[in-house]
Amino acid sequence: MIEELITQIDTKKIKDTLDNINIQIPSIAGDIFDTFASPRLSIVQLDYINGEYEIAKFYITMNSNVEIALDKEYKFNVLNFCLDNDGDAIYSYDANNNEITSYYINRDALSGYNNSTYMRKSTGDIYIPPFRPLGGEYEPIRKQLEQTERLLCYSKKIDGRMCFYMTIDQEFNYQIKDDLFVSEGQ
Amino acid sequence: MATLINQANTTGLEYDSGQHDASSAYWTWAFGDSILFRAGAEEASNMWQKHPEANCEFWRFSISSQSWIKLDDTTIGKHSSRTYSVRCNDTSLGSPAVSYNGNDSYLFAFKVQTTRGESFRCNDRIRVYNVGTSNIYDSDVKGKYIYGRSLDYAYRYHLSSSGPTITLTDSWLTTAGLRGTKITTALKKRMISVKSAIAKT
Repeated sequence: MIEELITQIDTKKIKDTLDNINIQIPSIAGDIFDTFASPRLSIVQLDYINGEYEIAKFYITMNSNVEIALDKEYKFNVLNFCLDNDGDAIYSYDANNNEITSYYINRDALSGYNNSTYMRKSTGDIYIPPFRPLGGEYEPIRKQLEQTERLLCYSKKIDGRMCFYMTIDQEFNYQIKDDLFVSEGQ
Repeated sequence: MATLINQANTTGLEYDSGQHDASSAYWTWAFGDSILFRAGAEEASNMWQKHPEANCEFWRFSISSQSWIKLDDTTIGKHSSRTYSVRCNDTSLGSPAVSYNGNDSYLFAFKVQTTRGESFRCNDRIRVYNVGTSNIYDSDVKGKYIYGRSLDYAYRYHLSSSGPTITLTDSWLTTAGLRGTKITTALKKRMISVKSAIAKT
């Protein structure tokens, strides 16, 4: 299932979007925008709706601190970043240096050594490690996705959506344009 | 995963596992004169993951004491690696952090166990060089040692999740009566006959 969905991802549309946006570097970002690796499609968000999966978001890793999220139409959604000196927080900004949301993240929860919550979004949404059982109708889905070893976490959103986050880690041969990220005043 | 020794090939005999992701079967064994092993850890594949860490161990089986002796036990993290060598001058996988250059061991065990983060962001690789077929390793080794194998394996890569427990009586190994023997034409033939690497004096 997941492999089939991956084959449907249109990397040209991802490249087109990245080629046609300018994202202002957040003022709190420090030097995390100085160097970039080759961008990778790192995660997709799958929404499970009426027995069907739909890719709702694409997450593009630019380096270990910076990520761009695109919506299901491949349009820019948010800029996510974390700071080296503030490792438990991930910030989501729009393209104009405005904070949209933030996350408190406990990455140790993924190791399974404790029973803590993996992540909490400022909107109130909670994110659960992949191995933790999910009651009710979605448990068979969680089990199925966990077996792929790609399931990063899942979240039953406050608005009712059931979302699964799948690790893709796929390079798509994209050269970052010089003005993808711009400093204030540029 | 294992690599077969090609007995018909008398030149350029070097066995290379290639670099692969760390496995849940995280112990690798090698039997030979000249060996290189490298463990590596990259960064997390995305910011939502913990950066990886791996526990690396390097053991030798002592012929004199018939026991396993630990040579190294360390943890590597993001953007780091650890290279081990056995009687080998090749540094193409990095300068060795720990080397064994004695003549009391031919069987070695290597462990790379992901202890944090994504296992596919940790990796390892092994190379086994054979006597007399490469000038990369220490020339002092040439002709001094002899060994045999009962099966066609140069190494056993990602063999199991427990170790180091394998012994020289395991089915793929045999060294009885051969250690330290000067290579002769007759023994060369025997090495071939026991499916060992071909050796040259």
